[in-house]
Amino acid sequence: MDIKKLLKKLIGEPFGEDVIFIVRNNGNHVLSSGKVAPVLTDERLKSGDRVITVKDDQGKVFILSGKK
Amino acid sequence: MNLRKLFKIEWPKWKVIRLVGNSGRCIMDDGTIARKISNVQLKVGDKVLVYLNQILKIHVEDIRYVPLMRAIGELLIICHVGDTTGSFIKKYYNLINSTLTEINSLIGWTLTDDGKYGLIWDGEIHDDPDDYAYLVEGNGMNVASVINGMVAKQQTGKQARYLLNTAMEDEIFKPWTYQVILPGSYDYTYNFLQLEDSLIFAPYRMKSKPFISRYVDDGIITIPHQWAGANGTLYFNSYQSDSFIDSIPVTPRIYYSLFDEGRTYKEISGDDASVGAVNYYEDADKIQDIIRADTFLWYTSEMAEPIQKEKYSFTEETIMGDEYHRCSDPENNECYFVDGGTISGQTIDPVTHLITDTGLSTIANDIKLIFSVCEGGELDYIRSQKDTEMTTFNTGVYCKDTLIEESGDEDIINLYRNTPPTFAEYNRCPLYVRKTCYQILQSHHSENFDALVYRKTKYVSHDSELLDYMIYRSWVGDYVQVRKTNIVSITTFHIYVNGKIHNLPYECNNTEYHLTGLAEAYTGDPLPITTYLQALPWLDVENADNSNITRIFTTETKEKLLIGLDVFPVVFKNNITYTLRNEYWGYYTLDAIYDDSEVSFPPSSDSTYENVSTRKWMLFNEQGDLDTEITPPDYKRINGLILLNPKD
Repeated sequence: MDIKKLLKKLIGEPFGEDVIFIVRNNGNHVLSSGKVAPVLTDERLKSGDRVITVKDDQGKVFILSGKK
Repeated sequence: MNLRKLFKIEWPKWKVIRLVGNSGRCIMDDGTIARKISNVQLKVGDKVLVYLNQILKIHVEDIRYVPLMRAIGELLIICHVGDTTGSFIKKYYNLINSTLTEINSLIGWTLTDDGKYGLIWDGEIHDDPDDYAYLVEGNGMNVASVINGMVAKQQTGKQARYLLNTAMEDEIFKPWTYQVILPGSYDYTYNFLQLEDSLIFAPYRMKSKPFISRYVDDGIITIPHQWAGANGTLYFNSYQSDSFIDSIPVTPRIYYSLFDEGRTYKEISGDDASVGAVNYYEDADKIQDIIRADTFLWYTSEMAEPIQKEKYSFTEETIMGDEYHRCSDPENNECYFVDGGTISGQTIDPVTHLITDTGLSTIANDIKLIFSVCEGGELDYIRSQKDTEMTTFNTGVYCKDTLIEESGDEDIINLYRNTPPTFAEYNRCPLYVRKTCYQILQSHHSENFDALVYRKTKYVSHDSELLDYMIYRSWVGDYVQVRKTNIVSITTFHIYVNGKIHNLPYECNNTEYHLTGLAEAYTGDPLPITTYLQALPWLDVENADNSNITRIFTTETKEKLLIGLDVFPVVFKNNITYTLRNEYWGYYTLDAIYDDSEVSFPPSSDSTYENVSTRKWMLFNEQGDLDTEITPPDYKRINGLILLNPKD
C-alpha cells in the first residue's frame, strides 16, 4: 500500500465523495449514503450529481462542491 | 513535515469572519487568518467552515438565487396483484416519498423475473415442483415460487434478478372438525374453532416458515413448499410431534439452480419426507452450506424431536452432520421424546393437548420453539421457561438470538385442580391458564435489517358457570354437574425492526371456553348428557372490531425495509347446543357448533373475506424507525412485492 494512502487512512480525511439523491430547496440535500448535507456552494446541483463532501470537527457532513 | 504533525488530525472548524481584506484574506473570530478559495462574496459576520486556513465556501457562477427543482428520489416497486390469491398481474410503481405512481415503462432497468407462479393443482402429489403447471412465468429461470413472504433478489444498480414470493396465510384460529361415533351406527361430525395462541391449550406449539429462495453467486437456492390433498393445500407434517401441536411444513428437497445451466435443478436432499422446519444458507470460504432442521424417528413414527440440524455441502453434495435440540439442556435426553401422549412421563393428552398433571413434570424447563434460522446460525424463536412444578411460566420472543420482549415470570392460573391427583382419567384434569403467549408470523434478515412480525395474546380474565347438565364421571362413581369456564384474552400485533418495537393498532378479543365436570356427585335432576367437547377448548370472537393481520411481505433496499400486510376482520362464534343424537339409546350430547349464519366454516381470511379491511405498507429505516407509511395499491390481493433502489 502506498505510504501516503496508509497515512491518510491512519490520520483520517475530512473530504469524501457522495451522490446527491434528493435535492431540496432549502439546500439540505439528501445524499445516497442516507445523510442529509447542507451545501457550501451555490452551484446548481441535481439528483445524481457526484459531489465532494467535507466533515466538520463535529462529524457533520457538508457538500463542498460538485465533482465534474 | 514531522511525523507528529502528520498524525495530528485537523478537521474543518466553523469560524466567524471579523474582517474581510481586499486580497481575499479574512481575519477570523479566533484571531487566525483564512483565505477564500473562490470568488465567493464574503462579509463580516459570516459563519464559514475553515480548513487549513482556507474558507470552504465556493462560488461557481453568480450569487443570484437559483431555485432548485425537487428531484425524484425514487424507488421501484414491483407487485403481483389481482382479485384472488391466484392472480398474478404484474404492476410497476415509482415510490416517491410516500406516494406510489404506476409506471408502464422501465427505462434504464434490466429486470429478470426468475420465478414462476400460480401452481395449478392436477390432483396428484409431485415431489418435484417443476412437474406442475403454473399460471405465469417470469422472463428468467422459471424457478417454482416460494411462499415465505420474503423476496429474493440479486441487484447491481438498475440490473436486478428477483423472485417474487407469495405470502402465507396466518390465521388467528384453528378450525377443528370432530367426528363422534355412537353405538347403533349413529355418528355425527361437528365443527368448531380454537384459538391458535390458546392460553390453555398446547403450550409448546411450534410454527415455522422453512421455505427459502436465495440468490448465491452462481445460482438460486430454493426450498420449495410441498402441496398435498384436494386443491393443492400446503402439506404440513404434524404427526411427528402431536403433543406439541407443531405445524411444520414438509420440505423434502433443496434445489440448487445454476445460472449457466438454465433451469437444471441440482437436487440436494432427495426424498427425505421427514425433513421439516427451518434452514439457512451461508457462504464461507466458497463452500455453500444449507442447514435445516430435521425430524427423526424414534422406534416408531410417534417420535417427535423436530430439531435435528443437517448441514449440506453443495460442493460435496453430502450431509456434513450437526444437530441441536429444542431443549436447552442437551444432556437431558428425556426432554426430547414425545411418544403416545406423554413427554417423559408428563401427561399431555393427545386429543385435548392439555397438560393434565404438572406436579411431577419432567418437561424441560427451558424450551425453544424455533421459527427460523439466520444465515449465521442464529435463531428466531419463542422461548418458554417454567419451574419444575409449573407454577410460573416465562415466555419471550427472540430475534437473531436476542431477546425482544418477554412476559417475565408469571403465575400460572391453576383452575379446578382436584387434589390429590390420584385418578388417572384425563378429564378430571385441572385447567392451567397461561397469562402470555407469543407467535412469530414473519422474520426478515438482511445485511442491514433484522425484523420480526409477531402477535401477543394476554390473559384478561376468567369466569365460570354451572350448566343444567350432568355427565357421568367414573372416578366420582356418579353423575356430576357440567361447568363451563371462559377465559378472556386479547391478541395484539407488533413489528420489531433493528431494536425497536412498533405496536400495530389492531387487536382481537378472544373468549376461550372449556367444559369440565365437577369433582363431586350431583344430587339435582338436570338432563344427563354425553359431551365429546369435554376438555376441548373452543373459541368465540364476536366483536365486530376484531382483526387479524396476515399475508405479510418484507422486502428491503440497503437503507429501507418495506413491510406490507393485510388486516382482515375476525368475526365468528360457536353455539353451545344440546342435541338428542340417538333416540333409541337416549344419547344427548352437548356440543359447540360453529355458527355459519354469517361466515361459512372454516372462516379464512383468504377466501372468506374478499376485501381486506386495511392494508398497511410501512417503510422503516436502519435505525428501526418508521420512516413513512405508503398508500398501497387498491387491489383485493397483493401476491408478491419487491422494493428496488436503483442506487443499490
